[in-house]
Amino acid sequence: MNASERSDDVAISRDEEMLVAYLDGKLDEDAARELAERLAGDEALRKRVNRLAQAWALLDELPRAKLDESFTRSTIEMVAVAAEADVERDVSRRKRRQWFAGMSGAAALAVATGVGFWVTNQMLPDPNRQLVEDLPIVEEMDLYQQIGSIEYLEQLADSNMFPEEAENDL
Amino acid sequence: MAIGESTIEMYRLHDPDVQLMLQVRDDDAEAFEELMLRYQARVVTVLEHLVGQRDQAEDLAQDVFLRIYRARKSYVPGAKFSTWLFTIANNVASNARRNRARRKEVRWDASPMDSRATPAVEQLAVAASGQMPARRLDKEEMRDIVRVAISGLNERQRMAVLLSKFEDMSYEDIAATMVLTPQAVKSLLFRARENLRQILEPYLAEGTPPGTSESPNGSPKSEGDDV
Repeated sequence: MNASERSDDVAISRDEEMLVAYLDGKLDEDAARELAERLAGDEALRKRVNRLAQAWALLDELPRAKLDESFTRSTIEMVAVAAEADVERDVSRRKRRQWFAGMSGAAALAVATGVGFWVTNQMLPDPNRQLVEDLPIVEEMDLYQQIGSIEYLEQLADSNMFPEEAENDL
Repeated sequence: MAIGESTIEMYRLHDPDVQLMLQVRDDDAEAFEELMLRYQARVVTVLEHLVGQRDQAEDLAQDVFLRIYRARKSYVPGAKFSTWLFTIANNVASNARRNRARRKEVRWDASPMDSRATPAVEQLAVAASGQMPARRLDKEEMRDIVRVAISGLNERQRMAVLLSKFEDMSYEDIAATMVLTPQAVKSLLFRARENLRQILEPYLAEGTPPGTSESPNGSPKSEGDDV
């Protein structure tokens, strides 16, 4: 805001307010009578009011724009082009959003699948796991059956008769 | 600030231009054309006297209508349509003035209305003829004098004057358009009237155009309107 505009913000005096209301025809009856009495006895004020009114009336001389049809047409064309561009932009934005949504969905599905597989693998019993763990026994099953008793094998191990085998077992 | 339902209803019922704008909101192209036909000349007139150049005024007016169209989906009638439209016009003109000032082009206020059509104050002085100071000026010369006078006001005073004179707006509507209080508008209009009186005083007193003699305290622009 420049200095001139700042000075616009300073309130006008009561007299000035009365003058502008008078000139705009917005003065109430009592105030109008009061001003008329002052104008009758104050030539300088009367001259000032007349000049203000004349200057204002001269603004009627300012030309009003006359526009031909081409202005309307070119404006509507411009608006139509802009509206079309807006629609294209919206469509492209919507497509981009849909693509991102699709990609996000696919990524989320992949992650969920991975997590689900891991959880399932960890939580649910795997029937083959026991088999893998028991594989050394299964492989020697014929031999164990010939011995007949697991307690006997334990006694042999405790007797320390075959220390090298015991170490290998460890 | 949210606009009350009763306010919306009041403007919807009483302002036919608001009704048209609501149709524009619903993508009615004919309603938009009708609004343009009603307002385009008025907008160009105000902008022309505000920015001082017809070509630029037409460009800015197109920008105003484009903004209106783009804002249609969010339009809520919280004021008369004309108030809303001229608020946009005022903002568009202010932005243009700021951009122009930023580009450090020719002075906004000092620019002639139309370099082809409008003579400068000095030329007016010659036209009015120093040998015949009291001769009656013709219509075109008088227009030029008034153009020079209004271009001597600062931007806010000019806008308030144009809305009051050309649009016949009340203090309240001008205040809403310019985002001021009605009291501030009264001050603005009073100072504008005083400035016009001072600029036009030589013409009013003797029939000579402004600029041919020293005004009492210089042009109102010398008060600091440095835009």
